[in-house]
Amino acid sequence: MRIKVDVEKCIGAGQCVNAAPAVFAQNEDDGMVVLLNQAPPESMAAGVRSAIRLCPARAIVFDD
Amino acid sequence: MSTSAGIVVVGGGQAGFQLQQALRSQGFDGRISLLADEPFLPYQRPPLSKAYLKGEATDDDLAFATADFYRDSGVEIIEDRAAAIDPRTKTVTLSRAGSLSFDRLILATGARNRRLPGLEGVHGLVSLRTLANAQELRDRLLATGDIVIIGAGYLGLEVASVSADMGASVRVIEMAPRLMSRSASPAVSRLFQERLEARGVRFELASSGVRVLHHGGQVTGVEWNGGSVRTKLVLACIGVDPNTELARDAGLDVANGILTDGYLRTAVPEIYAIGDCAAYPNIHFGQTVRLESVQNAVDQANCVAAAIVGEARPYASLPWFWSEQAGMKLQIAGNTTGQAQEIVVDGDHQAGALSAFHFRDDVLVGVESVNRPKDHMLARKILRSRQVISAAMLPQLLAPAPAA
Repeated sequence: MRIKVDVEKCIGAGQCVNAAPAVFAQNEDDGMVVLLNQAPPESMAAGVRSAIRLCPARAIVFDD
Repeated sequence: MSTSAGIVVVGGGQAGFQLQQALRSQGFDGRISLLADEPFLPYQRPPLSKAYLKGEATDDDLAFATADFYRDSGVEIIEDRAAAIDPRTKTVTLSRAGSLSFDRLILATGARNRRLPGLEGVHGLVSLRTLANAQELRDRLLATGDIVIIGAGYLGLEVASVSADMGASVRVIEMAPRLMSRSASPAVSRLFQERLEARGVRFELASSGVRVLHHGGQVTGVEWNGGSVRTKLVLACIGVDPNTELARDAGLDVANGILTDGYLRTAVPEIYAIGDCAAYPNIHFGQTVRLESVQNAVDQANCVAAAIVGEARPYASLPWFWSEQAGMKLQIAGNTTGQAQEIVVDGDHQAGALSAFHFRDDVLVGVESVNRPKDHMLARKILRSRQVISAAMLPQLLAPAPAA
């Protein structure tokens, strides 16, 4: 699984960090999403899928 | 507390979804029933006026979770409405059939769009709140290539922006003399107006006597004092009313929303109200408010879930909000709706990046940021911690930190 984030769309809601804390973080300064792992392992897939669905700005997508 | 009857959540929007999710993630293992009256699993509304309208997201993409998720976490989704609540017997009667007992009841009934009177059933007059609404809007917009939007609030302007980008002819009619007048500063209104006009959106501001024209059951145009336009598609974005009838009929206090205490409890301690339907004392605004936002729905749901699992704390989250129009990101923290405030604007209008800092009695109470996410995050931190910042302190706050 490969994913990417669009910082232009991000609004700093933090939903992704709650859903998959090992994959997403928020920048201290501006709250924007920081992708910690572009290719998270299958063990984290459920959390990542949840993050994609919960992001209110739709800033996370699969990078096929 | 016996958890045999469990938790009943009325409403399958953002607040209702978050409540069940938060309960499970905080370890609640009792029964949870979620009443959702739309023919879809709970879904996100913000993209309806953005990515979904553009065609960049499908119906399925909008769902917060798939059916498997609810099954695996033991949450029962019931596609029905609550017809009545009996607080004495702690029972909810369902609209179609049956009833549910509850230990705790969470009202997340949301709000509904106001409608223009006397136009029921007229084709081409649409509203936007549900996925079904969004499907109809998108289909009609693609068919007509032309839309008139009544109301220049966030929703109307987001649709205007996307519609113009899709190549449609777009006109926005607004009673107030400027855009987003309820909560945006004049500087922000002006910037968005310019950028939307540059994308082809036409505005009829300060328009009174707005009237939708129709013939043979189909919209034919809109007229107002001073002008008129022919169109087959009109979107009314004229505000919402909270869904309070269920609570009122159960004997709960309602005003502009279901009234709660600082813990989001109604006068019946086992019944809470959260999200768009709840009117609660907001410690940051110093008054009772009813807010319509993702942040409000999510944070209130988390607060109530914590109370149910045994960690009751007063609801104290800082309100924030965002909108996306004309390729710009607007972020708002705190209260920018008050009157008689001093507003200090910092930034670059030409570059489309600025923040408007709102002060009341020389204390920072709210910040609007356009393409300045650092200002927004700083504002969230300051306002959340209730730091007292005066207008004179602003330059120092905005100065870049000295190099280490």
